[in-house]
Amino acid sequence: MNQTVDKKLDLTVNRLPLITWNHLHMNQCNLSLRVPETGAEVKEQTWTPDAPEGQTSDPAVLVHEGHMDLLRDFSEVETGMGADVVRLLTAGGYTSDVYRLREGEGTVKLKYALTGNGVTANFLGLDVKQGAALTVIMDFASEPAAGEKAENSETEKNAADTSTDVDIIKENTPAAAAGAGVVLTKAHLGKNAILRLVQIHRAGNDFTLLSDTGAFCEDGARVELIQVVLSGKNTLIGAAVNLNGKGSTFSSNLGYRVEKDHRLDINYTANHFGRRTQCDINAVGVLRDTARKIFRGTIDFRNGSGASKGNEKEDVLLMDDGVVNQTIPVILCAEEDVEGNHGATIGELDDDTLFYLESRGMSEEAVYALMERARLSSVIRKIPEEDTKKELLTCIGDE
Amino acid sequence: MSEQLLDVRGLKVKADGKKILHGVDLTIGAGEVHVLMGPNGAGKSTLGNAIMGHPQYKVTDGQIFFKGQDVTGESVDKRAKMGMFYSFQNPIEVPGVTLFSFIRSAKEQVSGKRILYLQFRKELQEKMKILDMDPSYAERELNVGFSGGEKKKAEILQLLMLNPQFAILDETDSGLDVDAVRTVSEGVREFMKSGDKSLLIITHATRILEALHADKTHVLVNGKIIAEGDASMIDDINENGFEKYEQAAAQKD
Repeated sequence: MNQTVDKKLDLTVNRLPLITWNHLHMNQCNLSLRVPETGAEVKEQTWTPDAPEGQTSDPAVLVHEGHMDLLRDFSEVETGMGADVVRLLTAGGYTSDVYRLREGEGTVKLKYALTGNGVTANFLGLDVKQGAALTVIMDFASEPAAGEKAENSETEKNAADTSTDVDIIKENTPAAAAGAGVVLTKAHLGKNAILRLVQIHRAGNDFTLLSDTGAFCEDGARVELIQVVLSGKNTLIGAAVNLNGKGSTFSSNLGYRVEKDHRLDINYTANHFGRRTQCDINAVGVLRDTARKIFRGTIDFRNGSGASKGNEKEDVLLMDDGVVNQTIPVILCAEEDVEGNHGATIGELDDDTLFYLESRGMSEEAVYALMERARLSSVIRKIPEEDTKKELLTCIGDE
Repeated sequence: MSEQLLDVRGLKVKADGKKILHGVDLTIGAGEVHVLMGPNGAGKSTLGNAIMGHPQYKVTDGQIFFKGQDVTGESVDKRAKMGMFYSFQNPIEVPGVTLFSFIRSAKEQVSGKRILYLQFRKELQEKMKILDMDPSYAERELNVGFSGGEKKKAEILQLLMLNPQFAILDETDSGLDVDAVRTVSEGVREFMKSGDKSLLIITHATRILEALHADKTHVLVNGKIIAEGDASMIDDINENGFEKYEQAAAQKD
């Protein structure tokens, strides 16, 4: 047996920049993962405009490159989960894809197959040059794992005092245990560049997915992040955007549905370095059954970020008594001339709303389904790529 | 007499631990328009809510029959699927759900079949035109930020799209300007066009009744129906108020 197969690493990810009381179990997420041997298969990989044959260095086209050294390339880009993800990838093996758009507009579509019992790791580097606009659709899907429960799988609870708990599948029964996938995405945006990044998370009922993203913005650059979470035993999402250039902006829209005993652990950070930078972080979702979710959202106004603004808002609907919902918005200020707002709406359906909707012939279950669909649909409809949008709307029954 | 559609027998209702209705009898036939009048706090909306099955209004005695079936213990959605509709005095705001998707989902639930997108959109646009509603309202969140008049139009739009057998209109004309009352009345007239639909109109004002022929009027005071008559009672109440009926009821007691 390959020596790396048995090697496990203890990881701390999604850590708050300033920790709070330990007993709240919100500061970070601790987990143990076997080091990956290779990347998940990218089942579909398309990009437009394509480079003419033999001219991969054509400056006017989107260029697809192979393996990168994570410790060297994109090293200036921080991500939401933190340094442990790079540590995990460089300890084992990973697959890497890098796209560089020199000018004009381009689109990349990637579909990652989250299957098998092992641990996979993929790195995606995005280099968007000055004035270029790149749209990237990343679909993380388990096929056909969703709905299938592996027999004899054991779980271990990794619960350090300062962590949220994440069940990680033990690897001592590899024939039966389900796997984990790690996808690290780093982007560098030149002056006035635009990155529209769409990430769809639909891992299987036994699968653990770590989706970690980071972006570095020069003057006037813009990151528009759309993330949808539809399934997955453990889904961990980190996203950090460094607004270094003046006037750079970051907007994110997250829509999630967490059900059964699944867990979602999120950490967003917007680091404002440049003047007149702006971030808008929005999350909407529903929790069902005994699902657990933690949302950490940090807006950090650093020295030099005068006249900047940051907003974060979460709207979560709790559909069952057994759900656990945690939200921790953080606004840090090292500048006086900044504006930061946060808000959270956490609710259940009250009797009057339920009566109103039921009086139109909808059963309680149909009402819940409608509310869930509406929340997810409001995010999915923002996806700039029509085929993906249509496919997801059909998937949630809204088309 | 027309075929009996709704039959309320000796209905007693409690809400927040307080007895509100003290034995109400009410029978409405197919194709009939009934008007329920009464002073503030008489229990008019309580009766509407109880007929529709609001869980906060507890039926402590009596029965509600619809189409000959005892629905007293039935769920709200089952009553709606059987053909009941309640137009709310204060429609609820539902953020995140568009008017379009809400009505489409409700129609699918009531009919029990999938409704094609294009077919539904065409029908919705036709009904919105009757109600002089801007088509963009279909994509707005249900009742969120709607004016009073827009909310009432949205209620009547749902009435037209779901096309029930029997509807309770609870203060549908209150708080509306003359033009809005006319438009909403047009929508209600459209609903009644087939001739076999029934209405229970709960109202203080009577402007909506100018567009409809009322078959019967009921006066509800302190949780009891104290007088019943034909449409001429409406004019009488408009001119003289409820005092005469209250005194007569007091003497009877």
